[in-house]
Amino acid sequence: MVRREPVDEIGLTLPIRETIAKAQDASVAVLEMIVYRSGAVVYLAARATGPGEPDGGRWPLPDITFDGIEATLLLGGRGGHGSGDHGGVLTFVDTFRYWLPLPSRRFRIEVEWPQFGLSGASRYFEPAQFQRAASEVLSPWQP
Amino acid sequence: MIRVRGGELIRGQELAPPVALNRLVAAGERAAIFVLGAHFFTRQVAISAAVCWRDEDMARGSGLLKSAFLPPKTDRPIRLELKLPDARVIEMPDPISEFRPGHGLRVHVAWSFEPPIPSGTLRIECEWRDARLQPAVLEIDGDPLIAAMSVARPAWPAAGAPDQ
Repeated sequence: MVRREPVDEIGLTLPIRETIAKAQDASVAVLEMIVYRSGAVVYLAARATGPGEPDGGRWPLPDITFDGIEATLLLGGRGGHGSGDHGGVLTFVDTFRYWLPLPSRRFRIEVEWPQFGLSGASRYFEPAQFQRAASEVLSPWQP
Repeated sequence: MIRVRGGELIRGQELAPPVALNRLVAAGERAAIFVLGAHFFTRQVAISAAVCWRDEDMARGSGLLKSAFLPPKTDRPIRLELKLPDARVIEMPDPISEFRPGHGLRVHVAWSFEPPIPSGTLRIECEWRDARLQPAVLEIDGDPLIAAMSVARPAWPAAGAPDQ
């Protein structure tokens, strides 16, 4: 089954905008989370600068995990876009939207990006925050 | 020159601190339009929204969404406008999210305009008869947005290293 972002709930946006990890030429940030009754969408962005490959290819994407919580990538990864050329140096920004079930325990977002020597984790997010937000989710069609 | 297509939250390399709005604009039996949030950049303000179609009528919903967003702007059967207090009218933007698995029948759009945000009430007006949405208006108080923008700082400045 393809997981999709719910279409019958408005979702409660939690603005976050937090840099999870930063290295000299790369960084990963969590932008926001949108909480629904059955889960949450986590929206992240990764930026990196480096020499482009002769064939137009580029470096691998960061490895993003959620502290043991199984997440589904909805959009992003290779779908991110960016380009640039300053003496062969490229900068790319990729965005990612992950679906997480509503967490029952605290968790943090962990990032590994060995190509850039980047490793780090976000602060811990508490389940109560998600439960509270989920209880406030509105739907135009459901009570 | 750096190009990024990262959705309503990214312009250039800026990660704007957003303000959540989470308001319903209009809902019919099968479709609904939500306003999601306001996003602030050094040269742009963006108001984002989601246009949704209920799951159980997927084929028809997909067709209607595409017919609403894919034709040239003048031929679109949906009207989705942002009216600013200073009388500027921002027409319906192109969809940010694509029609592909992951978003399904949920399309995100964002109106963009140059700051400053004029004081007063912002109005979002929508009409989509094909989807049986009655004409509707959502009013948003601009003052909290002005206050938020006054303290907003991009997480990734346009010229500089990422910052927190």
